[in-house]
Amino acid sequence: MRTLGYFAVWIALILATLLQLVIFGGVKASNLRVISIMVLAWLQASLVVFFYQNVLKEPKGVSMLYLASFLTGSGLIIGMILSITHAME
Amino acid sequence: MDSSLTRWLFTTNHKDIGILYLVTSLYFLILGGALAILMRIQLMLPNNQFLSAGPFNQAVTVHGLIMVLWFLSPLAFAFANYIVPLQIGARDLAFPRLNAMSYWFYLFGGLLAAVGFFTPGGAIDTGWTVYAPLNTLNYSRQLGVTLGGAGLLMLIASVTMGTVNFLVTIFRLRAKGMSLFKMPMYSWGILLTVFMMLLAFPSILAGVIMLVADRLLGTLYFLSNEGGAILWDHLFWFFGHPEVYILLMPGLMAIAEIFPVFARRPLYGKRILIFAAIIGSAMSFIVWAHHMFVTGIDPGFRKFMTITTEAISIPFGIITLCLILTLFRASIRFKTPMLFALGSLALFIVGGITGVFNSSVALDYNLRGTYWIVAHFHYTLVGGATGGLIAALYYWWPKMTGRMYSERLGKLHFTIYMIGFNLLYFPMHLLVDMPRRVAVYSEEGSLWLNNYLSTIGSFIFAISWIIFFLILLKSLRNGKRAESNPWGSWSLEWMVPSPPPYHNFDVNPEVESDGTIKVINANGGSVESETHNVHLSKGPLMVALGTFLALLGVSLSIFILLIGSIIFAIALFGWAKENILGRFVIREPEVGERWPFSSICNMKLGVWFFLFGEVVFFSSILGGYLFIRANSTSWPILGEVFDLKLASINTFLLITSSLTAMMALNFIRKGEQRGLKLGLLLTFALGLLFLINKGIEWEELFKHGFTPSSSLPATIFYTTTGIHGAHVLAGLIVLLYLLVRAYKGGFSRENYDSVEYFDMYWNFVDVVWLFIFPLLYLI
Repeated sequence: MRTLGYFAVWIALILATLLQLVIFGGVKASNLRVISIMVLAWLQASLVVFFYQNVLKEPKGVSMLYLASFLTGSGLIIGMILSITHAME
Repeated sequence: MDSSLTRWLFTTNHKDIGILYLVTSLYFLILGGALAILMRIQLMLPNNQFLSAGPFNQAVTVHGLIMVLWFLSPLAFAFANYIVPLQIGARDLAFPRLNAMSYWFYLFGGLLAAVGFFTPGGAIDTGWTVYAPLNTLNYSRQLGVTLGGAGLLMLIASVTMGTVNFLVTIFRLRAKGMSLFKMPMYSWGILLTVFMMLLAFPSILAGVIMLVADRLLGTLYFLSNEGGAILWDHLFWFFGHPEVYILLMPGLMAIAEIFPVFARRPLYGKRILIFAAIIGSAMSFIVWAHHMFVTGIDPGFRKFMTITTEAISIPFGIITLCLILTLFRASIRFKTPMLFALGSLALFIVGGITGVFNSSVALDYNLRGTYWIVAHFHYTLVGGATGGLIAALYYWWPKMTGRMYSERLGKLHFTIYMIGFNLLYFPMHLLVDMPRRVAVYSEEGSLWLNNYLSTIGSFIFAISWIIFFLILLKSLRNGKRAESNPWGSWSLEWMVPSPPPYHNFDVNPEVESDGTIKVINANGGSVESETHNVHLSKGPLMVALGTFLALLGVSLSIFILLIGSIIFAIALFGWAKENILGRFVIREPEVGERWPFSSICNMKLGVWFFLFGEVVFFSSILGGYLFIRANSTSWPILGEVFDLKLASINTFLLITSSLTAMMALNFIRKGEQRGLKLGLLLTFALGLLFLINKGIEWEELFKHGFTPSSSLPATIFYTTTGIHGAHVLAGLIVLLYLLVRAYKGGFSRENYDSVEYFDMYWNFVDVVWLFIFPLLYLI
């Protein structure tokens, strides 16, 4: 990736952070606020993983295992939350 | 190679380390076994007063921890270390020093946990599951629990190093023609085991860090209603259930290695068996909550876990059938390894069947916490896993020592082992009315008979182990010299002399398309002719010793902590010096099978594997937070607690440091030294500013009474940002090393790998912060 590309990603990351702050201060609806802030966080993380860590340029096995570890971690989080859903009602 | 103390302390050779693992794991077997005998003596008679409740609880706990974590897995890794590189045609593991350090962390971790016996209040006594809130200071004040936690931390560090090392070794150091499917079954077993370890251990690491924080810093993870017992259960069993398969897989695959040799038939359905093992390993991550059926978790979630728990018996049923069909119409040689392999499979089937009962919520309500469960998991883990590894030990003993053992005594061992085992554990199935972990039971009812029989069984079982050790000692002393291939086996380790030369192979072995191994002329190989033979390093032992003393010091005294930290720092410096001066260089073989990681070097792949474990670790930390948050009825208004300005500046700093790190890499790729130095310096400065800023933020919060023990939000804030900050600090230390190398001209257009590895890590730390920032400050 060229230098310009790294800068472009950096600008996108900064802008996304600023947007998160704007949403934090401006959006009243709690669900919308949380969802948009987290979507932006995912976007930022993806930018770093794809363009700074260059995961797509690695052998396919690396991106598959990255995904597997992410799914494992997510599975734990989802399981933890699901286990309490009904208890809270 | 000499047999001096220096060799054993500083060795990095995989076979030496395999032997160290073997001896140490057998030592822990004796320790754990002795504790089991004490427990059984106490339970032999009703109202017995041999052990009071306190020491009984300590014996139960330490027995469980030692057998699961310090005996069984390390025994499997003794063979993994010694045999797997030979089986795949490698000269050593990918990272020999890391391998040595992994061993020393394992040993010192065990010692750290055992030190608890000599402290006031005794050793850890919470049960091996260390359930919350029993594990907190409110209920277990003794130092032994903290030391147990610290020991676990060292063990988990050891496991992490080991998993990365074995994954890279198996994927990248296979001999030419050794495709994954041509790998021997034990190597397959270790490959799946380390994959499970990589993704399972981070959750218990997160749990233990939270526990140690609760005990030492007063945080509230496991004392609160919102976290508490269920949070620990999730983090523990997300590790704990895959751990069952982590323990089982090597033994099961050792059986798959031994059956074809002694049945003189190829393994039935090798590919099917491998696919079943892969599916079973993956499924082991979606069954954990069946250990939590009685905790009041959501009924729908329980149903899901019931189905997955029942379903996991299918792949393991397929494995069992493949093994049985291998024996069909075979002309079996009933040598000791085969006897143990057969016995082990039979006992595993009993353990497996009794396990299916536990997947039913209704049955589990009645069976949970009774001796039925104890019987079930001992049939699985002692009968299945340990028995398989004892078969492996008899099988590979001639290769490892160059000596045969007495077949007659081996058969005697097997006979007494089977009688003792079944008399010890079968009656426990009938003790469905007796709760576990209770020191005394009354005369009423029929509990005494089965307990009595079980204790008699334990004595017989203990005798079988004494015979086992005598067999090994006798073999070492005057056993017949072993040929290179005494069993007529087909895998690569049997093509070299017994014991193998220090460098394993004189020439690079090759496997042809039909599976034939090309002739290897290892006989008469000259140790001096190899560049790899003598690689001693003080670093691994010293780093582990420093860590041991530092953790001991955290629990006992600041003086010991200081000494430990100094040793640790000196050891790290020495390690880095070895690298800079090129004293410890491992050459990657030029030819070999490397699919699916052909176009990536060993170190880079190792860094990736490490980061995959980190993904699960931070998921566990953040999962803990989300679980507590979802359970909480109120949460502070975030803008009023935290200084959003400081946090936003920190986000800017870290994002920018990722850019400067990438620029440093870009510059050195073009051979621009000044750009590299500037990029690294800026990254260092930004990282340091991030930490300083974090320190200022913490200080401000402390001033306002927002301390780790003040509330759950505070607990989560300090722990999460503290762990992330520790990662930033670790990155800065590595960065300092890179800067020294850069200023010494250590990087060039062709040689910049370390900068790239650092960038991968640093960007990951950045990614983690990109989640921490919104989760802790914005939502």
